[in-house]
Amino acid sequence: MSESDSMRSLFDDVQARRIDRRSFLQRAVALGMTPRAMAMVLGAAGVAVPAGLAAAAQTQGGSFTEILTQDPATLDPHVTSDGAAWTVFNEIYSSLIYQDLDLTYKGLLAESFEVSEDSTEITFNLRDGITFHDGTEFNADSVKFTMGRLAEIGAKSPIYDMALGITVEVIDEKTVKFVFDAPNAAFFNGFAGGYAGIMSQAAVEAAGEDYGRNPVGTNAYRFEEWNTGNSISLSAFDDFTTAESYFENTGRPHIDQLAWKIIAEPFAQIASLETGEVDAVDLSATDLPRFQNDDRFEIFEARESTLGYLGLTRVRPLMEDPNVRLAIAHGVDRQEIVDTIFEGGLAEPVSTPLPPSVPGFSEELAASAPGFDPEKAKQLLEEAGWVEGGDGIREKDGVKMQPQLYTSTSATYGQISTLIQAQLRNIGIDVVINQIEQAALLDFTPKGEHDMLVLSWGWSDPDVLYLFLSTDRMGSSNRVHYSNPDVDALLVEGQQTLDQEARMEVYFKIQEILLQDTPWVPLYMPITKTAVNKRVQGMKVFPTGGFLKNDAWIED
Amino acid sequence: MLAYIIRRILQSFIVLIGVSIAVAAMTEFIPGDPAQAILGDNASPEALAQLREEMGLNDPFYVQYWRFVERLVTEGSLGKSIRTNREVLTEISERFPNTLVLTIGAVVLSSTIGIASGVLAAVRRGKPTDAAVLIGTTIGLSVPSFWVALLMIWLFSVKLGWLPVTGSGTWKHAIMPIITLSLGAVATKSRLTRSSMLEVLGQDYIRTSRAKGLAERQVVFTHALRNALLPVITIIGLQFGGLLGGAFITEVIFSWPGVGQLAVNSILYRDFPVVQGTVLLVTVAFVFTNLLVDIAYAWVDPRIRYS
Repeated sequence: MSESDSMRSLFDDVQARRIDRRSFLQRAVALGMTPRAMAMVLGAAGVAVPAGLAAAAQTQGGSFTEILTQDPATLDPHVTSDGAAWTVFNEIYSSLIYQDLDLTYKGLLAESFEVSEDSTEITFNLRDGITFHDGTEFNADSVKFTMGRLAEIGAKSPIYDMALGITVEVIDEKTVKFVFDAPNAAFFNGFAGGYAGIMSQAAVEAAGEDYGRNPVGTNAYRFEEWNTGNSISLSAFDDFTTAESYFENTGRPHIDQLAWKIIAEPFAQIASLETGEVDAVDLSATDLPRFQNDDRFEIFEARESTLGYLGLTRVRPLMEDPNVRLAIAHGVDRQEIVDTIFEGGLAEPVSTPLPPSVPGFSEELAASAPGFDPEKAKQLLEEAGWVEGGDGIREKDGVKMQPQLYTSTSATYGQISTLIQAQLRNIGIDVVINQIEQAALLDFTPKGEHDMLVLSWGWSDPDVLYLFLSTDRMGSSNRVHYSNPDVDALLVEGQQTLDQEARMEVYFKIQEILLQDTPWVPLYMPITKTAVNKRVQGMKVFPTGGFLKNDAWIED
Repeated sequence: MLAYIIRRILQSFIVLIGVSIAVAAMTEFIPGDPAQAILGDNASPEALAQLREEMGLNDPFYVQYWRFVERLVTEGSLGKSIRTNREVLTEISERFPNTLVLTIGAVVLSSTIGIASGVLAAVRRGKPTDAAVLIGTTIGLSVPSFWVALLMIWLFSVKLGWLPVTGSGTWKHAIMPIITLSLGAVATKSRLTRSSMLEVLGQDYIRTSRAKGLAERQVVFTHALRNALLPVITIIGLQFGGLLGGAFITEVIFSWPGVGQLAVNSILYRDFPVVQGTVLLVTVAFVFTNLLVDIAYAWVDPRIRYS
């Protein structure tokens, strides 16, 4: 009897209930079936799957390897704003709270939390029986220690804001109270996830200066090894008990090892996916079609909490007239940008200051926001006194409409800028493109010598509008030099309103004003499409990106 | 000879001081702010100002340079990386052995093939072998090395599955980076060896050695090659020095954790102490290999005397 015949007869026997589970298992093992295949055969035949077999179906073991484009600076969350570092330490650390799939905040290391009537106190009730990777116990003192350490690092920490204006009180071993100088709605966003990971005091003190290379947390994976410039690996934490509620597996992860390879070159990334050296790669428009039609891989999609925008610097003479800014908003065709530069659905057009991936996005505003309408744009420019000269470029009082657009040397920004240049040329605006390297650009924009700016931000809370458009941030992150006292007041109100619904109304009002003032012409929200090797099973992805790994397993 | 070596080493210190001042001055004029790099693009103006002050970034470059020299002399430290907060010496010494592997590999491979093919082409001047070497070296010189690197990845990793795409750790990881680095170097050495050999083979003493009945092999290898190698040694020395500073493109393509990869990232991040450290390393490597080349000259050609 051939192997497939044996398999068929075994299947028939199970279907007809001619054999008991024990002899089924014996014959299945002899045929070399995986536990998962056995569970599937039994399940298909309507036979109860033994608990041991069900668990074994999601085999424990194996490793999942991703890519980092550069070596992380450190794995100490308190001292870096590095994206690569976050990707890794987010698997090592967990915080008191987490963001659920519906983007609301729930308790994680805290069993529950209560916000006081006046929104200035949050009391966290901590879970029992949690230990750090180094075996020490997690308790209220660990929380106080972590926040105290952050405050001590001070201005050198990119997340110092998170410890500002907060006093941490230990009520008892399992209760800790945060007292705020003023209500802070943006606190939850900052405090969920790896940046707010609670640290083991013993581990921090033992490692001293080298803590950034010996991180210790409470999350599903513990730090294992870091080969500088080459790879990083973590191993499953056996005593892990605090998985987020969107996981079925609340305990130790099925996958034994998480690893990252540092690969900067896109071709080498794709080649490594092909050879199986890595399991997941974010695809470019060029590679997307090939991998979509390859059964060895599954494509995961996520909408990034990112907005790509065209900034208009209001303090510059060419941009000071609100009608000119509005005309530009009508002159830009976002759909064309998305279709040509983000081919294959790697972005969606966005017309409001907050993209759909960030709370506070409003369908209503998106429908009424200025859209592509070149005729209207021309009319607005005429009304503003900008008339077409002989060369087709508009001028007013002898000044030509030739705004200086600045962007970084990124190829994508370069392409977007060129397309905007062509689109605005149609309404008589002659954009001059200047590309300078990213670090130099960030140093240049505070001077306010640019009329236009193509850039993007990534942030998962509507408070992002404060970071990039408030008067407080003039001279640093407010790169378009926008200043409006009404918006400033509303931005503070948004920070201090803890009630979700009321808070979102505030951001609705803010966006309404921003759409009239047009400091930004919103352009697009990037969509990440990641090819994952199908040997990885049960993987999920967070709506705004990032793999959720605790239910996943590796098939041999 | 010893006096000469000591004098050369003392001279190299002057070069090092000059280079380090140049790099320190550069940090003053290159746009970009290390404080911004640490705190991210949404940092507040207050935090940026405070951090710049704490890091001493507001001081004029000569004050910063003096601090650098003081620390180097008193603590033997090149300072700490802005990005990782680790000692610059640690950062570099972790990667230097990897760069050394590539450098030695590439120099040995390219010298072997380059010199052998050059000698062959010279001895068979005007024959098909000569033409083949000429075509080979022309291709080697004109094809961009990054393109060959990508082609090799496609062939040896993706199609044949023989070699890992990126990383380091085993001899298999080193093969493609070493070949990539050797490509241009083979061609240069082959051309140089050929022309130098032809010149030497036309000399009177070669005719003399042939006339006294020496075997051709002995004429070529013992008498001609040794003399023809002088200019080739200079090139080997220069290439060695250059490669020790890190092979930027090759290291980035193959994710080879060497000094080149570190230098690229540090420049992008405005991590000036690390930039300073890698530049000094390149300078030392150049000065040192040049010195070795000069000593090798004396060994190969006893007529050369240093005083």
